[in-house]
Amino acid sequence: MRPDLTTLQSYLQVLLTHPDPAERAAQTAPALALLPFDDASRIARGRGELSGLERIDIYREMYLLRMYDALVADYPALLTLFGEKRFRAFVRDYVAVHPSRSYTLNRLGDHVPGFLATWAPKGLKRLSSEVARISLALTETFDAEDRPGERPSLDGLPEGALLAFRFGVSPALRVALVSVRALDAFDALKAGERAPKTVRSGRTAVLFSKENGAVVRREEPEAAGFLLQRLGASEPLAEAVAATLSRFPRTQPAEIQAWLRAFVASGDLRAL
Amino acid sequence: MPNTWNLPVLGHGIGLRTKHYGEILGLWPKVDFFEAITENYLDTFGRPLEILDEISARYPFVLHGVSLNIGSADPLDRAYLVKVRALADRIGARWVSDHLCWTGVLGRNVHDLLPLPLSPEALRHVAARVEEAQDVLGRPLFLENPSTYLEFESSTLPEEEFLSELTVRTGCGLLVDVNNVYVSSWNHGWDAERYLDTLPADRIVQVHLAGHTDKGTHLLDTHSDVAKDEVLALYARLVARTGPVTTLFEWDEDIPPLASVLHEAERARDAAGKALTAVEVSRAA
Repeated sequence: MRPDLTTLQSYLQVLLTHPDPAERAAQTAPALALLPFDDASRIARGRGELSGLERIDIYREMYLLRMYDALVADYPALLTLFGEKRFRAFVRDYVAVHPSRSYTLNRLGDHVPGFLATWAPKGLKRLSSEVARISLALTETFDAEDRPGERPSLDGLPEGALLAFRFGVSPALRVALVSVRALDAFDALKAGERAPKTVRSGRTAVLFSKENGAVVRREEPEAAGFLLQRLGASEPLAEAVAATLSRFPRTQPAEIQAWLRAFVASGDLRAL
Repeated sequence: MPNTWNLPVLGHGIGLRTKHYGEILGLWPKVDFFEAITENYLDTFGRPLEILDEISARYPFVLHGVSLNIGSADPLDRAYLVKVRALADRIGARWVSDHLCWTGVLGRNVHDLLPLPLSPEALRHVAARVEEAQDVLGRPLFLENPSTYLEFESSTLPEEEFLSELTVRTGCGLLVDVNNVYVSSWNHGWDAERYLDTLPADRIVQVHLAGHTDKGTHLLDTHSDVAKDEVLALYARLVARTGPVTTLFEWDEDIPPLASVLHEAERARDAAGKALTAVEVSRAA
């Protein structure tokens, strides 16, 4: 019996997204759940030197190449960090867990930071994940709309209203809280260098935003970035400040006031 | 022969590629028209979209998609189609095209132009979806023949007949990729000339040309080279049937400087000119 279109396409998709040749992929559980192994060689016509399964392999080989190209475009620093062989293994394993579900490849790498936190080898888990987080923040800002917003008006607000005030943020703003080492590594690796020239310690907030269509990057104290993230999630001001003081107990109220003024002045924080 | 929709013949153009942005914005070269890959400009407000706006203000444009997934067993993605329509309106695209293929199923996208079983059942399935897509797009859809590396045992219709019947059932048009006809014919033992002679000439609104790579066991549609002479000869044969037709040269791998790609568009113009002259001479005789 001929398989219906859904079965045929599901089966082919299993075979051509499998890292192993189609003949082996056809013997795996996902393939056997759709069609018996004997049917594999009867799906596609063989011709010339190539069997039907080898013709499926033409598509299979191109699949991983395309995924590689898409991920290396968004995460060039990871290629330098991992080297060619490990990066190819990362691509193979990543797309097996997080295949593209969009009409654009731009979103293929959305899960890379979280994936690397467990997949990467010991000693590179945190660094690679943070480098990926910076890369993702950069590409998200690049694709985001640079829309002018209204500056929030806080003057004259009674205390109760001020504490309950909720901000919006610039749609292009992205904040990554990372180690300074990861940021230095990101810069070096993106430039194709194996390691940064100097090693700094501590943590930082990397902010990406847009000015006149161009992506702009700056650094802030990690506590400031944390506060901005909380406010960006529309948390009331009092709760965002309390959470910041709880996580970063050495932060002074005057610092928080200064950050808030700066974020409003820069347009990062906006009226909802 | 004018096409069914009386859409204009835009001349001999090229695909808009990131690598050429600087040259185009700096030189504003003479180009008949550009074709943009639709998905490159969806869901992004980055610099590429601004560049598309700038360039489309000066040149005629057409949109060419790779993710319509018209042959999939999954439901058609209407939200995607709404975005395509908005982009086409934004840049004043003369028409919108995609491929006779499927790109994924069960919610996944493998981002390849995968072949369909060419059967009456598949024809019914695709025809219904083309009508739905045209309804959402608010304009006719033009479908390109893909380059293929496998044929299904369940296929019973030649691809050219499948496409021809699709135009009759849905009112859609065709974008004929002559390089794909050559590649698929070589890979499957089809008769490329018969293929082109079978297609309804009045439904052909655009032609693609490109280079391919000989892998020994099969030809691969790599878009990494100039068009082979055999492909240009097929193109001339097609033009002799259609008359002047909008023609685009695609280059996507190892992309050379803009002048080299434009030179390929000129080679196509020359081949078309000679083919049309030959037709006139033959008629006069």
